[in-house]
Amino acid sequence: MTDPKTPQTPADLSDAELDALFGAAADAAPIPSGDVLARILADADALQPAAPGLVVPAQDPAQDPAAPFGRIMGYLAEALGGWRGATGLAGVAAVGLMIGISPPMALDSLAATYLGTGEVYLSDFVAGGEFLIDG
Amino acid sequence: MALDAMNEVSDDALLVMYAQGDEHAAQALTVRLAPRVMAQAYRMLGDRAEAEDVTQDAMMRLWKIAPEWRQGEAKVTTWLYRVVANLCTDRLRKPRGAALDAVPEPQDDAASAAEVLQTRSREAALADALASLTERQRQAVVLRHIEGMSNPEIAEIMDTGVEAVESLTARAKRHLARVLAPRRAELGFEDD
Repeated sequence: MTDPKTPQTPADLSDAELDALFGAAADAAPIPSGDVLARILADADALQPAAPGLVVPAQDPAQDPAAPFGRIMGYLAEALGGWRGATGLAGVAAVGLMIGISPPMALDSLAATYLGTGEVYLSDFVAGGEFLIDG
Repeated sequence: MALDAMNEVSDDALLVMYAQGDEHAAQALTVRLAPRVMAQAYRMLGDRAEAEDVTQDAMMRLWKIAPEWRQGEAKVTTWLYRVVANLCTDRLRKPRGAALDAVPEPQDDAASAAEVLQTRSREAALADALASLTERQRQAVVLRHIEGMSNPEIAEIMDTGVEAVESLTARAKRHLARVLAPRRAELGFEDD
Protein backbone atom coordinates (compact mmCIF):
# COMPACT_ATOMS: atom_id res chain seq x y z
CA MET A 1 0.00 0.00 0.00
CA THR A 2 1.35 3.40 -0.92
CA ASP A 3 2.17 5.73 1.92
CA PRO A 4 0.06 8.85 1.29
CA LYS A 5 2.84 11.01 2.74
CA THR A 6 5.36 9.79 0.20
CA PRO A 7 5.60 12.26 -2.71
CA GLN A 8 4.98 10.49 -6.00
CA THR A 9 6.80 11.33 -9.19
CA PRO A 10 4.22 12.00 -11.88
CA ALA A 11 4.41 9.82 -14.94
CA ASP A 12 5.96 11.45 -17.99
CA LEU A 13 3.59 12.63 -20.69
CA SER A 14 2.88 10.05 -23.35
CA ASP A 15 3.74 10.56 -27.02
CA ALA A 16 0.05 11.11 -27.74
CA GLU A 17 -0.14 13.84 -25.09
CA LEU A 18 2.97 15.53 -26.44
CA ASP A 19 1.53 15.33 -29.96
CA ALA A 20 -1.60 17.09 -28.71
CA LEU A 21 0.56 19.92 -27.39
CA PHE A 22 2.53 20.15 -30.63
CA GLY A 23 -0.72 20.20 -32.58
CA ALA A 24 -2.09 23.04 -30.45
CA ALA A 25 1.13 24.99 -31.02
CA ALA A 26 0.98 24.41 -34.77
CA ASP A 27 -2.57 25.73 -34.89
CA ALA A 28 -1.76 28.79 -32.81
CA ALA A 29 1.06 30.32 -34.82
CA PRO A 30 0.92 34.12 -34.72
CA ILE A 31 0.44 35.94 -38.02
CA PRO A 32 2.73 38.84 -38.96
CA SER A 33 1.01 42.17 -38.38
CA GLY A 34 0.06 44.42 -41.26
CA ASP A 35 2.80 46.82 -40.24
CA VAL A 36 5.45 44.11 -40.51
CA LEU A 37 4.15 42.99 -43.90
CA ALA A 38 4.24 46.59 -45.08
CA ARG A 39 7.86 46.94 -43.91
CA ILE A 40 8.83 43.68 -45.64
CA LEU A 41 7.26 44.84 -48.91
CA ALA A 42 8.88 48.26 -48.60
CA ASP A 43 12.26 46.49 -48.18
CA ALA A 44 11.48 44.38 -51.24
CA ASP A 45 10.65 47.48 -53.28
CA ALA A 46 13.81 49.25 -52.16
CA LEU A 47 16.08 46.27 -52.89
CA GLN A 48 14.51 45.05 -56.13
CA PRO A 49 16.70 45.34 -59.21
CA ALA A 50 15.07 47.43 -61.95
CA ALA A 51 13.30 45.46 -64.66
CA PRO A 52 15.06 45.55 -68.03
CA GLY A 53 13.64 48.26 -70.30
CA LEU A 54 12.20 50.34 -67.48
CA VAL A 55 13.57 53.66 -66.31
CA VAL A 56 13.58 54.88 -62.73
CA PRO A 57 12.59 58.58 -62.62
CA ALA A 58 15.32 60.86 -61.34
CA GLN A 59 12.91 62.71 -59.06
CA ASP A 60 10.44 61.25 -56.59
CA PRO A 61 7.12 62.10 -58.28
CA ALA A 62 5.32 62.23 -54.95
CA GLN A 63 7.39 65.30 -54.13
CA ASP A 64 6.28 67.14 -57.27
CA PRO A 65 2.61 68.14 -56.99
CA ALA A 66 2.64 69.37 -60.57
CA ALA A 67 3.32 65.88 -61.94
CA PRO A 68 0.11 63.88 -62.57
CA PHE A 69 1.52 60.80 -60.84
CA GLY A 70 2.58 62.85 -57.83
CA ARG A 71 -0.85 64.43 -57.68
CA ILE A 72 -2.50 61.00 -57.66
CA MET A 73 -0.20 59.82 -54.91
CA GLY A 74 -0.97 62.98 -52.95
CA TYR A 75 -4.70 62.31 -53.17
CA LEU A 76 -4.21 58.74 -52.06
CA ALA A 77 -1.93 59.66 -49.18
CA GLU A 78 -4.38 62.26 -47.95
CA ALA A 79 -7.35 59.92 -48.30
CA LEU A 80 -5.57 57.12 -46.45
CA GLY A 81 -4.24 59.20 -43.58
CA GLY A 82 -0.73 59.99 -44.74
CA TRP A 83 2.10 57.79 -45.98
CA ARG A 84 2.44 55.96 -42.70
CA GLY A 85 -1.26 55.10 -42.77
CA ALA A 86 -1.06 54.16 -46.42
CA THR A 87 1.79 51.69 -45.95
CA GLY A 88 0.07 50.20 -42.90
CA LEU A 89 -3.16 49.86 -44.82
CA ALA A 90 -1.38 48.15 -47.68
CA GLY A 91 0.11 45.71 -45.19
CA VAL A 92 -3.29 45.04 -43.68
CA ALA A 93 -4.63 44.46 -47.19
CA ALA A 94 -1.91 41.85 -47.64
CA VAL A 95 -3.05 40.17 -44.41
CA GLY A 96 -6.57 40.27 -45.79
CA LEU A 97 -5.36 38.43 -48.87
CA MET A 98 -3.70 35.86 -46.67
CA ILE A 99 -6.83 35.06 -44.67
CA GLY A 100 -9.05 35.15 -47.70
CA ILE A 101 -11.03 38.35 -47.37
CA SER A 102 -11.43 41.07 -49.98
CA PRO A 103 -9.77 44.47 -49.69
CA PRO A 104 -12.07 47.23 -48.46
CA MET A 105 -14.58 48.54 -50.98
CA ALA A 106 -13.44 52.11 -50.37
CA LEU A 107 -9.90 51.18 -51.33
CA ASP A 108 -11.15 49.47 -54.47
CA SER A 109 -13.08 52.54 -55.54
CA LEU A 110 -10.14 54.82 -54.73
CA ALA A 111 -7.85 52.69 -56.85
CA ALA A 112 -10.41 52.54 -59.64
CA THR A 113 -10.86 56.30 -59.53
CA TYR A 114 -7.23 57.32 -59.46
CA LEU A 115 -5.40 54.41 -60.98
CA GLY A 116 -8.04 53.04 -63.29
CA THR A 117 -7.77 49.53 -61.83
CA GLY A 118 -9.58 47.40 -59.31
CA GLU A 119 -6.33 45.86 -58.06
CA VAL A 120 -4.46 47.37 -55.13
CA TYR A 121 -0.74 46.82 -54.65
CA LEU A 122 1.76 48.18 -52.18
CA SER A 123 3.82 49.68 -54.98
CA ASP A 124 0.82 51.91 -55.67
CA PHE A 125 1.13 53.52 -52.27
CA VAL A 126 4.57 53.22 -50.70
CA ALA A 127 6.43 56.51 -50.38
CA GLY A 128 10.00 56.37 -51.62
CA GLY A 129 9.28 53.10 -53.42
CA GLU A 130 10.77 52.34 -56.81
CA PHE A 131 8.04 53.71 -59.02
CA LEU A 132 8.82 52.50 -62.48
CA ILE A 133 7.41 54.10 -65.59
CA ASP A 134 7.91 53.42 -69.22
CA GLY A 135 10.90 55.32 -70.49
CA MET B 1 1.88 38.42 -63.79
CA ALA B 2 -1.10 39.08 -61.49
CA LEU B 3 -0.89 37.95 -57.87
CA ASP B 4 -3.64 35.32 -58.20
CA ALA B 5 -1.84 33.69 -61.11
CA MET B 6 1.27 33.18 -58.98
CA ASN B 7 -0.26 30.56 -56.69
CA GLU B 8 1.12 27.72 -58.80
CA VAL B 9 4.57 29.26 -59.29
CA SER B 10 7.38 27.74 -57.21
CA ASP B 11 9.20 29.77 -54.57
CA ASP B 12 12.48 29.80 -56.44
CA ALA B 13 10.81 30.81 -59.70
CA LEU B 14 9.14 33.70 -57.88
CA LEU B 15 12.48 34.72 -56.43
CA VAL B 16 14.03 34.80 -59.89
CA MET B 17 11.04 36.81 -61.15
CA TYR B 18 11.56 39.27 -58.30
CA ALA B 19 15.22 39.63 -59.22
CA GLN B 20 14.19 40.31 -62.80
CA GLY B 21 11.96 43.19 -61.72
CA ASP B 22 8.53 41.54 -61.61
CA GLU B 23 6.36 43.91 -59.60
CA HIS B 24 4.16 41.30 -57.91
CA ALA B 25 6.62 38.50 -57.12
CA ALA B 26 7.62 40.04 -53.77
CA GLN B 27 3.99 40.22 -52.68
CA ALA B 28 3.41 36.57 -53.56
CA LEU B 29 6.57 35.49 -51.72
CA THR B 30 5.71 37.60 -48.69
CA VAL B 31 2.18 36.25 -48.40
CA ARG B 32 3.51 32.71 -48.82
CA LEU B 33 6.66 32.78 -46.69
CA ALA B 34 6.39 35.50 -44.03
CA PRO B 35 3.82 33.60 -41.91
CA ARG B 36 6.02 30.49 -41.89
CA VAL B 37 9.09 32.51 -40.98
CA MET B 38 7.15 34.28 -38.25
CA ALA B 39 5.85 30.99 -36.83
CA GLN B 40 9.32 29.46 -36.67
CA ALA B 41 10.84 32.58 -35.12
CA TYR B 42 8.05 32.87 -32.57
CA ARG B 43 8.44 29.26 -31.45
CA MET B 44 12.17 29.70 -31.09
CA LEU B 45 12.01 33.05 -29.28
CA GLY B 46 8.63 33.01 -27.52
CA ASP B 47 8.23 36.73 -28.13
CA ARG B 48 6.06 38.25 -30.82
CA ALA B 49 7.94 41.52 -31.25
CA GLU B 50 11.28 39.75 -31.58
CA ALA B 51 9.77 37.23 -33.97
CA GLU B 52 8.49 40.05 -36.16
CA ASP B 53 11.94 41.66 -36.22
CA VAL B 54 13.48 38.34 -37.24
CA THR B 55 10.80 37.90 -39.91
CA GLN B 56 11.61 41.26 -41.48
CA ASP B 57 15.35 40.61 -41.23
CA ALA B 58 15.10 37.15 -42.79
CA MET B 59 12.93 38.41 -45.66
CA MET B 60 15.38 41.28 -46.19
CA ARG B 61 18.16 38.70 -46.63
CA LEU B 62 15.97 36.87 -49.12
CA TRP B 63 15.54 40.02 -51.23
CA LYS B 64 19.28 40.62 -51.11
CA ILE B 65 20.21 37.08 -52.18
CA ALA B 66 17.64 37.06 -55.00
CA PRO B 67 19.93 38.32 -57.82
CA GLU B 68 22.38 35.47 -57.05
CA TRP B 69 19.75 32.74 -56.65
CA ARG B 70 20.11 29.81 -59.01
CA GLN B 71 16.77 28.21 -59.72
CA GLY B 72 16.57 24.51 -58.90
CA GLU B 73 19.74 24.31 -56.80
CA ALA B 74 18.23 24.77 -53.34
CA LYS B 75 14.84 25.07 -51.72
CA VAL B 76 13.99 28.63 -50.77
CA THR B 77 12.22 27.46 -47.62
CA THR B 78 15.22 25.43 -46.48
CA TRP B 79 17.53 28.39 -47.02
CA LEU B 80 15.08 30.68 -45.22
CA TYR B 81 14.58 28.34 -42.25
CA ARG B 82 18.33 28.19 -41.83
CA VAL B 83 18.57 32.00 -41.86
CA VAL B 84 15.79 32.20 -39.27
CA ALA B 85 17.46 29.57 -37.10
CA ASN B 86 20.72 31.51 -37.15
CA LEU B 87 19.02 34.86 -36.46
CA CYS B 88 17.12 33.32 -33.54
CA THR B 89 20.26 31.71 -32.15
CA ASP B 90 22.02 35.08 -32.25
CA ARG B 91 19.18 36.65 -30.30
CA LEU B 92 18.97 33.82 -27.79
CA ARG B 93 22.65 34.26 -26.99
CA LYS B 94 22.14 37.91 -26.10
CA PRO B 95 20.67 38.95 -22.73
CA ARG B 96 16.91 39.20 -23.19
CA GLY B 97 14.02 40.59 -21.17
CA ALA B 98 11.00 38.52 -20.27
CA ALA B 99 8.50 38.02 -23.08
CA LEU B 100 5.45 40.18 -22.49
CA ASP B 101 3.23 38.40 -24.95
CA ALA B 102 4.48 34.86 -24.89
CA VAL B 103 1.07 33.43 -25.73
CA PRO B 104 -0.77 34.72 -28.81
CA GLU B 105 -4.43 35.55 -28.65
CA PRO B 106 -6.65 32.59 -29.51
CA GLN B 107 -7.81 32.80 -33.11
CA ASP B 108 -10.92 30.64 -33.00
CA ASP B 109 -13.86 32.85 -32.00
CA ALA B 110 -16.22 29.88 -32.09
CA ALA B 111 -14.37 27.95 -29.39
CA SER B 112 -15.94 27.87 -25.96
CA ALA B 113 -14.33 29.78 -23.13
CA ALA B 114 -13.19 26.52 -21.54
CA GLU B 115 -11.61 25.35 -24.79
CA VAL B 116 -9.86 28.69 -25.22
CA LEU B 117 -8.46 28.54 -21.70
CA GLN B 118 -7.37 24.96 -22.24
CA THR B 119 -5.66 25.85 -25.52
CA ARG B 120 -3.89 28.84 -24.00
CA SER B 121 -2.83 26.78 -21.03
CA ARG B 122 -1.32 24.16 -23.33
CA GLU B 123 0.44 26.76 -25.46
CA ALA B 124 1.90 28.45 -22.39
CA ALA B 125 3.05 25.17 -20.86
CA LEU B 126 4.71 24.06 -24.10
CA ALA B 127 6.36 27.47 -24.53
CA ASP B 128 7.80 27.21 -21.01
CA ALA B 129 9.00 23.68 -21.62
CA LEU B 130 10.53 24.56 -25.00
CA ALA B 131 12.43 27.38 -23.33
CA SER B 132 14.08 24.86 -21.02
CA LEU B 133 15.60 22.92 -23.94
CA THR B 134 19.00 23.64 -25.44
CA GLU B 135 18.87 25.84 -28.55
CA ARG B 136 19.55 22.96 -30.89
CA GLN B 137 17.09 20.62 -29.21
CA ARG B 138 14.42 23.33 -29.43
CA GLN B 139 15.20 23.99 -33.07
CA ALA B 140 15.04 20.32 -33.95
CA VAL B 141 11.82 19.57 -32.08
CA VAL B 142 10.05 22.69 -33.40
CA LEU B 143 10.97 21.91 -37.00
CA ARG B 144 10.12 18.21 -36.66
CA HIS B 145 7.01 18.15 -34.51
CA ILE B 146 5.44 21.58 -34.98
CA GLU B 147 6.52 22.57 -38.50
CA GLY B 148 6.25 18.94 -39.62
CA MET B 149 9.49 18.88 -41.60
CA SER B 150 11.41 15.73 -42.49
CA ASN B 151 14.62 14.78 -40.69
CA PRO B 152 16.80 15.16 -43.83
CA GLU B 153 15.43 18.66 -44.38
CA ILE B 154 16.04 19.58 -40.74
CA ALA B 155 19.55 18.18 -41.01
CA GLU B 156 20.20 20.49 -43.95
CA ILE B 157 18.79 23.49 -42.10
CA MET B 158 20.80 22.74 -38.98
CA ASP B 159 23.90 21.81 -40.93
CA THR B 160 24.18 18.42 -39.29
CA GLY B 161 23.42 14.75 -39.97
CA VAL B 162 20.09 12.96 -39.92
CA GLU B 163 21.17 10.79 -36.98
CA ALA B 164 22.06 13.88 -34.99
CA VAL B 165 18.61 15.30 -35.70
CA GLU B 166 16.98 12.06 -34.54
CA SER B 167 19.03 12.16 -31.37
CA LEU B 168 18.22 15.80 -30.70
CA THR B 169 14.48 15.34 -31.18
CA ALA B 170 14.41 12.16 -29.08
CA ARG B 171 16.23 13.81 -26.18
CA ALA B 172 14.07 16.91 -26.51
CA LYS B 173 10.86 14.88 -26.38
CA ARG B 174 12.03 12.96 -23.33
CA HIS B 175 12.85 16.22 -21.60
CA LEU B 176 9.50 17.78 -22.54
CA ALA B 177 7.59 14.71 -21.36
CA ARG B 178 9.36 14.86 -18.02
CA VAL B 179 9.12 18.60 -17.29
CA LEU B 180 5.48 18.77 -18.37
CA ALA B 181 4.42 15.76 -16.28
CA PRO B 182 3.64 17.78 -13.12
CA ARG B 183 1.32 19.99 -15.21
CA ARG B 184 -0.76 17.11 -16.58
CA ALA B 185 -3.94 18.14 -14.76
CA GLU B 186 -3.53 21.77 -15.82
CA LEU B 187 -3.16 20.59 -19.41
CA GLY B 188 -6.45 18.69 -19.19
CA PHE B 189 -5.05 15.31 -20.11
CA GLU B 190 -6.61 13.44 -17.22
CA ASP B 191 -10.04 14.24 -18.65
CA ASP B 192 -9.14 13.19 -22.19
